[in-house]
Amino acid sequence: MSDPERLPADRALEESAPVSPPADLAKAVMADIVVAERRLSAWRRWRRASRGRQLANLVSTPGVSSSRHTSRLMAGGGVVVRTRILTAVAGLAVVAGISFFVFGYPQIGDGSEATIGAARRYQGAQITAKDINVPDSDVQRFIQSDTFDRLLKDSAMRSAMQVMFSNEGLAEMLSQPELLEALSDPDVLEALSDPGVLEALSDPGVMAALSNPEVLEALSDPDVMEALSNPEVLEALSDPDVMEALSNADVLEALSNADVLQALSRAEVTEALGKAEVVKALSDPDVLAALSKAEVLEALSDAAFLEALSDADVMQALSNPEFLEALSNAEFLEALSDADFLEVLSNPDMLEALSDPGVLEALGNPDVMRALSNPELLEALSDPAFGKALSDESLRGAISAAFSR
Amino acid sequence: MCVSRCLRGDTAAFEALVLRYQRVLYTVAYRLTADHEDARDVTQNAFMRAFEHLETYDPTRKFFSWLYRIAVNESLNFRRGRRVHQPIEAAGPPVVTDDPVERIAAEERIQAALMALGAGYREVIVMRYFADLSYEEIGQALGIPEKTVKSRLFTARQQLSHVLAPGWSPQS
Repeated sequence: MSDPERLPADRALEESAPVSPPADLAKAVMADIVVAERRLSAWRRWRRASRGRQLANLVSTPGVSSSRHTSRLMAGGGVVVRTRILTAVAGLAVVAGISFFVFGYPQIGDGSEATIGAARRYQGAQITAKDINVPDSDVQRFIQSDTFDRLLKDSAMRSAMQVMFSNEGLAEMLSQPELLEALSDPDVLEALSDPGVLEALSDPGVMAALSNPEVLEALSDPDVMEALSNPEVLEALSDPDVMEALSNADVLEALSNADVLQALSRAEVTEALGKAEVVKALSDPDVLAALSKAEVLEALSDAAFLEALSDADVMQALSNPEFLEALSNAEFLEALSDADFLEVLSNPDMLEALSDPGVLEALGNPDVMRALSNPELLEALSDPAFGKALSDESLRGAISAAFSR
Repeated sequence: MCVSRCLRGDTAAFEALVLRYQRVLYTVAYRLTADHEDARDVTQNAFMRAFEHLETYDPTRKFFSWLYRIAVNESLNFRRGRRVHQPIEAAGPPVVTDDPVERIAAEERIQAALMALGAGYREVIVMRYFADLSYEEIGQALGIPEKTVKSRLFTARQQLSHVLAPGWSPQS
């Protein structure tokens, strides 16, 4: 210590030895970390990875002084702030553009005249892509793209934007820093500006379903937004089969159902939907075809079924690789269209039983699926007493052992 | 860089950070809580929080300063949550010695003296002498100017000398 005046306490402090931590501390910390890491949502993983890449580039960028480069990247730097604002504006423009495709030519309700009037007063000269010059090449590429140009110049898009901002829920959603950050990501921007997505969203049926206030409310839910902003989900959504399924009138009707929307907004569901393997399984044309069947959709709209389905354990079971594999089983998909089978599935005890890996594996077995299509067996399975019996672990074990043979 | 690797999903990279900083963090936690069990919990919680919020770490700052701030907040919250008010025993003058028994006694006296200080003074002492931070780093961690760090540290050392002086008691 080089303090100007030595005091009696100084020597004692300098002589104080560091305290040794318990020998198992690091091991205990790492055990907690592994659990915490598993609990991270797909969105958080993606954000963290993206931040990690940013930091790695920071270290490895040749010819750039670390502190200068760092300050550019960190929030305090003016360049970065400007870039973020511009990219967020770009993202908002995409959202607004999509909202135009989604809402069509929106009917502006009574009472919004003042909002629009006030907005018009502050309208400046038309912005063009040339006015925007940002250093980030990905963003720059997007901003200079035809899609962005089209979105920027479209008067209907601007009207849609005004309507969007007059919607309290959406305005609140758009003011969330996390969303702005997500929208600034080149991957998200690219996925959102995919012509396939835009074309599918312009389908009149999709428009009608998405202009439903309940749908809008569900979309404003941060968990739903988080799942939807996941690049993997967006990529899956841009798949032509998914888009076709989404354009199905029955699917759209089911999706407009308040119970379905409520179930979709549940954190467990959005978290499961944010998983790449779930999205992949759900994007399978056969699965989509099965899910689009009226009976399945009717079952999906049943409040009790949805309640059971959105249970954390069930969602975990549904995200299980074995179950996702079972989804590719033709018999299982056929059984999904069977009203009796769906009734059996809507039994909360049965859904809970699904969390058993053995049962999930059994569902992938063609013989099991054939057996399950037997009306008498289904009737027996739908008996509440059977459901209760399923809560017995030894019975579950016996079933899974018998089925997996 | 461990932080970047860990953010990209390499959890094992975090272990390197834990191994590197566990000793100093545990020392700080112990000096602030005066209890080994509490220090263990605080250290564990601090690492966990650091992991959970790793993406918010600003690489323009020293990683330890960031981690340290988390540990201090954890220590303070921990004490607040537990409402621990340990009675301060008379510290007495420390004896600098090679005898292990006397050395333990001396450490205990220093710890008791530290606990007699106000939280703000104890904090700067711990940062300077047990975490080996510079004035600048202490200022950054506490959000106060370097000049204030120096004056606070001087007052803390004066108070500590007073507490360690023979004949001192909590009443005096």
